[in-house]
Amino acid sequence: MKPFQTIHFKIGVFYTLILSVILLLYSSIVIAVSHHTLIRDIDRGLAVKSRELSELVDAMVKIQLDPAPAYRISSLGAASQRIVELHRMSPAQAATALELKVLEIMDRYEFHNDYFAIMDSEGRLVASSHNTPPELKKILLEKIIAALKTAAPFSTLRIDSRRLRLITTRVQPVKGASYFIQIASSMETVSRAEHKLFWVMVFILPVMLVAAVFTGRLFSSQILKPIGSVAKAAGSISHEDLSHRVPVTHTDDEMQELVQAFNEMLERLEKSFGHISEFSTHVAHELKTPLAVIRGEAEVALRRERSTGEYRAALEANLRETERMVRTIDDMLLLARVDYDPQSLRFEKINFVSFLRDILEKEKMLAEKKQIQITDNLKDGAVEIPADETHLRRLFFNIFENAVKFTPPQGRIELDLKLAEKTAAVTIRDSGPGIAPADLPHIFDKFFHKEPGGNGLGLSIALAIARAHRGTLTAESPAGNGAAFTVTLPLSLQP
Amino acid sequence: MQNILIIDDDAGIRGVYRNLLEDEGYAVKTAADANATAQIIFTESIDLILLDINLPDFGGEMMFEVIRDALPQAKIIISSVYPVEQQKKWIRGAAGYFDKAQGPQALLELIRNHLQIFSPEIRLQREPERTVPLTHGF
Repeated sequence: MKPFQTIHFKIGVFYTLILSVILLLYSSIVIAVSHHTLIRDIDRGLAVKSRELSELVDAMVKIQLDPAPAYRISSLGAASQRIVELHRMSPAQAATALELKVLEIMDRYEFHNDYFAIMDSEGRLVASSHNTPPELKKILLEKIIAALKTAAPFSTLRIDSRRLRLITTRVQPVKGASYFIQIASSMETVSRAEHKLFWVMVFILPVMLVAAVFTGRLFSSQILKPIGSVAKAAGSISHEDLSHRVPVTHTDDEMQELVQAFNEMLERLEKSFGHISEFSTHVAHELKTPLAVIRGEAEVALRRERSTGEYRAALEANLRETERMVRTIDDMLLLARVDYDPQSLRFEKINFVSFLRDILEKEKMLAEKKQIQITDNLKDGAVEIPADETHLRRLFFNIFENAVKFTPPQGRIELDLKLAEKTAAVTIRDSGPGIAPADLPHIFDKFFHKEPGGNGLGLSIALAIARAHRGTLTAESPAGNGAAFTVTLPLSLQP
Repeated sequence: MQNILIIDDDAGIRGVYRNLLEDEGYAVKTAADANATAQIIFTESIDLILLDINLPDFGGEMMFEVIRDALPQAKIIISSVYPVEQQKKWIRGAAGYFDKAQGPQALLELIRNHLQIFSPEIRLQREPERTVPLTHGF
């Protein structure tokens, strides 16, 4: 697996990308929010300053408009004169008083770094801050005119590399007279703050990203480790050594589930292989005996001149053994097919009662020799079951063969059919010696011999066929009083 | 006359070994299971027993013990379709072990090793007629 295809790598890339996006988004939001807040702070300051100045102008103008309409004021200088007259101050005092007032206001609201301009409705500059550079003055005037059109009180002005935040407000002390006040505040603090924040982000972000990705990969390594172990264990398994297991992680999570499931699978495989190997051994030995006989007969016959009769006897013995081996092999193939190849059975609906009657007829003929009586409880009726007739026939034949073999002459075999809601159960009971309790759990085992001459597969085949029909086959032997085999078959293959 | 008892559940095996050993001049008895064996070992004198340990009732070991007690002088040879190594693990202390797949010749040799060769009387009976070679210079 190429290093770029590993889950580890993919997780790393994915994680890094997502994290980068999130961090960028986060920093953008932080920067935007702080920008907004800082500007709002300036704006609030400007608004307060503007209000003060507006009130001042308002007061100034109102003072001017005194019952004596002869005075027309167009400058604060003239206003001061008026104040003098009104308050009986000396001009110098009045100027000082006004200036002090303005300074006081400037102090109070930190006007020192701000520029302001006051324009009347005819576009004439009434007053402006002392520190306003001439070019700025012109621009400010233009801005005021522009602001009139857009009616937005706040705006930002960029001059050279500096930024100024402007507020433009209108004062109408009396009808017919409007003044426009504009205050410009430097945005230097904002710029500085934003700058700082930006560079902090630029440096910190990559560092955080790297740290997060690093720990993330460490974490994912840890989590993916069991997958590596499982892969390694899987690689070391072969039919020769199924005993390996993957160490359990004890983390109580999906990984532990995976590991446990894997180990359990290995357990089952080991058992299966054990069974198969056992079976193969059994098969080998089952076939070795007839071969030993064949070899023996041939060697013995060939040791010296024999009579025709002796040769014939030897050949006949060998033929019998050969047939026996063929039967054994056929039985094993049948067993394999029934157990492992579901397609080998062809199901159709058969009339169970007539099927059983047919079998009984044939069995009665075979049992005649030993004078065994076969009885049944079959009543006329239509009982249909899904079955592969050939194989089902074999099942019952095998059970009967067993029964007949073990029932003494003049004994009795009974067949009993019981119908339930979803199943049909057939019990075949014989009057033989029964099955020893020690043998009962083993009688369906393959190659379990109880009688000479057989190959021990008869009942195994019967069980396999019953199972292939989705049914069961059980045996009972009540206290040495014969044996009873019960085949239970479903009346329908639908659950 | 040497008496041999063949205990094996397989009729074919009993048949072919009986043929083989009777051919060699031994007196052969056979038994197919524990019952038949009991009827013989307690009443007759047997010199060598060929015991199949894979009898259906799996009494191989027990059979071995019983026979040894009943006939202490007899030689017991274990026979089976399983390999000799395996047989040795199951039953210890037998006089010999025979894997049926080895064939009749191997069995004969094994038996000959444990029993004296048949008496001269029988040998005379069994050897074919010989032509006496003419001496040179006749």
